[in-house]
Amino acid sequence: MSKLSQEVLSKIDQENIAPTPRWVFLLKSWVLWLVYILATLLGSIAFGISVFVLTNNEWDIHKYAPEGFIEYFLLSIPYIWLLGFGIFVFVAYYNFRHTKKGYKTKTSILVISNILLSIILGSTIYASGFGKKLDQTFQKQMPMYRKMIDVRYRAWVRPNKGLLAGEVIEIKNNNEFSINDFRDMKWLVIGEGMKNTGCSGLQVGAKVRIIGHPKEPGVFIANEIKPCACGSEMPGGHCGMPIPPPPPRF
Amino acid sequence: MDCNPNTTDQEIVRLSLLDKNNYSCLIERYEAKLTRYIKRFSGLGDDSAQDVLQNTFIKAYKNLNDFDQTLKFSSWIYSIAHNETISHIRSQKNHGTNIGEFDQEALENIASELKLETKAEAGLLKEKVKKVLADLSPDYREILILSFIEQKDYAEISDILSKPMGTVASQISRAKKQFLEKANNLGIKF
Repeated sequence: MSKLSQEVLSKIDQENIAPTPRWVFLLKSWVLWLVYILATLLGSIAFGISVFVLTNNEWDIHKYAPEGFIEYFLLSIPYIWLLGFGIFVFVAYYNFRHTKKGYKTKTSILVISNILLSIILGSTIYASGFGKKLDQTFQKQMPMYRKMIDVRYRAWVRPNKGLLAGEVIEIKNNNEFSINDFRDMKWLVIGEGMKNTGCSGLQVGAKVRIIGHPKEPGVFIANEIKPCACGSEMPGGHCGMPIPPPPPRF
Repeated sequence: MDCNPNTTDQEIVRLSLLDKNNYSCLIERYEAKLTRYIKRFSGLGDDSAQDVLQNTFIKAYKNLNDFDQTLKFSSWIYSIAHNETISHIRSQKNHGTNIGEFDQEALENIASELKLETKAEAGLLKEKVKKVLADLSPDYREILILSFIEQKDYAEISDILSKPMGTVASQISRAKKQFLEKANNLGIKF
């Protein structure tokens, strides 16, 4: 027996070193694969919701938005979901790379194939309507999602840019009504010379979009009023709801 | 244990899991090869190389159950030696400068692969090759040593360095280029 053999075996004896059980390595391997699969699924969901949010964005807003189409387009990008997509692709890549034979695949092939896989799964999620369901669930369950993440809120609750949206809380007279905007700020809306487009009436509880300009804090002069989100998925949109008679005329 | 040279590495791994004394056969089988490899690619002195080697065998023993029977045991143990050497170098924060000795066969291999003129006297050629290798970046030095001196094929190098085979091929190509450039910069003519 060589000197090194003796030293190694003696150290093994002295320090009671034993081979790590096989199940530990199997568990580690399963965890890596499980996280890889989960990250790929979550990345796909993030992609599916991104597609849903983009395709159901109210693209007609850009006609009213003071900034050009490009700025509005940039505002509309669901960054959080796309960031989530990127993070999950990275997590999937990292876990695959650390699997037993993960090093054999080139980084570029690994990343591109995971992106493609997420896009295919994400498109399926979007096409199946699951992306829509998740988006709506997040809107209902998470107020933060509505206020901070949903691009449709970001686009419409910009009084200084002439855009306001919210829920009617009080109708004062033919020219004035109050709303709570989607960030819970109360506004008195004055509708002199306003045209009421596509919305035959107002009632308390209805969601409206208003184009105009702020007069002073809490007071908004309306040039045009539109019902919320006909044909789109703007939360609270009253499409399909009965339009209440009698309408106050503006 | 009587170490039968016909017993495969895989078989000794299995026997070592039953009785640790069998592990000495694997140690003796790889001790000299790994010592040369560690010293050549790291430039570590005898004592440091021995420390790294001992850690390599201890770590391999702890991880015997993780050895993938579809791989060559030599690739697996070289891979552990590679990682232990890198860890040692990082903890010491410097490379050694003595890249060890080369036997005539190793010298001929590297001279042939790099298409070096071998008219020079063997001793002089050896010194020139060593001087250029010592001046190479550690990654390139290691991959040239694995490929041309340890005579490992691309698949084995891929397993040892945990890199895709395509990356191994392109790194070897770049290492060869850097070897010739360094030789030129050092004014060494072959």
